[in-house]
Amino acid sequence: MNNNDYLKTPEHFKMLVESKVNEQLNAPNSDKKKTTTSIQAKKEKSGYHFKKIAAAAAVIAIITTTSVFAAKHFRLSDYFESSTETYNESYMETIDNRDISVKNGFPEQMKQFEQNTNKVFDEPLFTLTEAYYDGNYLYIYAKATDAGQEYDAITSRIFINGTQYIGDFGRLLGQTETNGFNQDEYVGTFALDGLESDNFTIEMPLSIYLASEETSVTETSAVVENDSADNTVTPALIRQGQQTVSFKVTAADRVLSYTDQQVTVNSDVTADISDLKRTELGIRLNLTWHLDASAAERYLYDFEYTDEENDNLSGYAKPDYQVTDDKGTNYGNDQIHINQIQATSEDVDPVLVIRNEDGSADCISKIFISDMPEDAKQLTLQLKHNGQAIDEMTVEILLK
Amino acid sequence: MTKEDLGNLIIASTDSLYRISKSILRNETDCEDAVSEAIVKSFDKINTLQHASYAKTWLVRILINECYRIYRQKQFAPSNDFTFKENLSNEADYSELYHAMMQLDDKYRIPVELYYIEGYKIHEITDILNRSEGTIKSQLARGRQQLRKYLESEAAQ
Repeated sequence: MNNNDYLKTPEHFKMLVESKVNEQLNAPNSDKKKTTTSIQAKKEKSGYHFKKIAAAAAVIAIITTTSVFAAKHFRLSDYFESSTETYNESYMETIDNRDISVKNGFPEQMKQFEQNTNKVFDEPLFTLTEAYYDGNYLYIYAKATDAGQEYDAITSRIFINGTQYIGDFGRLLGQTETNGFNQDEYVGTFALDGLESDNFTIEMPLSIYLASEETSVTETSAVVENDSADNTVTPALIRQGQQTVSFKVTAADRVLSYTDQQVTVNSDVTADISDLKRTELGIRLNLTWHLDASAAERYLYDFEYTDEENDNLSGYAKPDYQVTDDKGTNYGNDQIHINQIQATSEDVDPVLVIRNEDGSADCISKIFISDMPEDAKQLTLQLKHNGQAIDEMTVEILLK
Repeated sequence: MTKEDLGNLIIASTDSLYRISKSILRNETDCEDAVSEAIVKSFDKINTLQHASYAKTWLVRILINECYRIYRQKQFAPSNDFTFKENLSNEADYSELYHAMMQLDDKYRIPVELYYIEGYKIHEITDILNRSEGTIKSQLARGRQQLRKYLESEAAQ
């Protein structure tokens, strides 16, 4: 079998590629980024974010320990409005520049991608002034400083406690006409899922280029970043250096925290609920099931992915949760996020299973349930496997 | 590398771009969007490509990033208009191997696709997927294992 037998490329797809290539070969440079797909993709992404924000009525980003509820017009509002979606400006906060630190070079996790340049970037290239954190997504706004006018600082990732989160940060090149932004303005969007705390410090590794219409807001791949210099490269697109900007986000005081709970699930299973927090976005909690040895023998299968050793090859059956509240709301899959993995397509086990030497086991999930009614006082979580709810694994969680 | 060279490379790689996007996204329209966007970005960034010999790896990496971006948007979009199993019923023309590949877990399927279908070397896949060599080797082994068992079970039916 050759590769075309494996999967034949449709003719219309070939025509699409040819036409896209011709379009790019014939396009004037300034029009490069104004493609239909690009704009459409951006709108789709934004639309989703804004719907979440609208539905959420209030998890807030409080940026820095001395955040100010400024009665000002936020540029992020303009950014949101450009999508014609609803948002709530009162959730935006001003970043206090005293809490921002800047250092030359990449953080430790990205040292391997650092390029040796003779330039040192230990001064801010932009002023980071606004942020919006909705419990999942972080938006930031910045404006180039005088010294930073000639540069474009871009990244597609940030680090929080050493964990990488994916997103985009860079100048709003290519969007200036439609959104009324200037080319010295930056916007970043990052998906922050699975954070243990709503107070955190962000490390943002920036690749610095000379500002140019040619520079897209998307960071180039590591493959390219590792390449050595070449005489054929246009100077404006050679990386000038690296910089790491760190700043704090403090949203915890806008989050209602509950005391930890321990629930007896059945005679040999208990469950601990910790880190139980409520925002107007929803409920976040850590759920740890403790199975004694006999329970582990009977139920552990339900907590784990079914893999090839179990001869289930028609797809990995994974554990899941069914959630209802005391108001009778049954939450759908789009509202239940387990070990939230929105920032990555990497598969993450929805339940982390730890087998103990005595045969017992601990099964841990981080769960976020969105769009919860304000007056809901109790949640019922039920473990599911292969689509089947397991009656014996039902946990009642009090929201009082 | 000139724009014309890149254009030629892209057109020559059409089948490969299609297969790779299809292994991640499956939905035809999403694949078209991902490849279109990857083409635009590759032309935008052509001057950052410093060695022409890396061009295809670089292009595939851009494509995979685009696929993941669309994957994330679709996966968590409020509407239920996207599932990874969608369209399979309309894909009667696809090969048995393709159907088997679609049963693989994502983390195994993409390395298997790149190694066995596209012919990339392990060190190239580590660059493309930004995973360690050990991880790629183990994912290939597990992917192979799953694939074999799936094909055996299909043959037995």
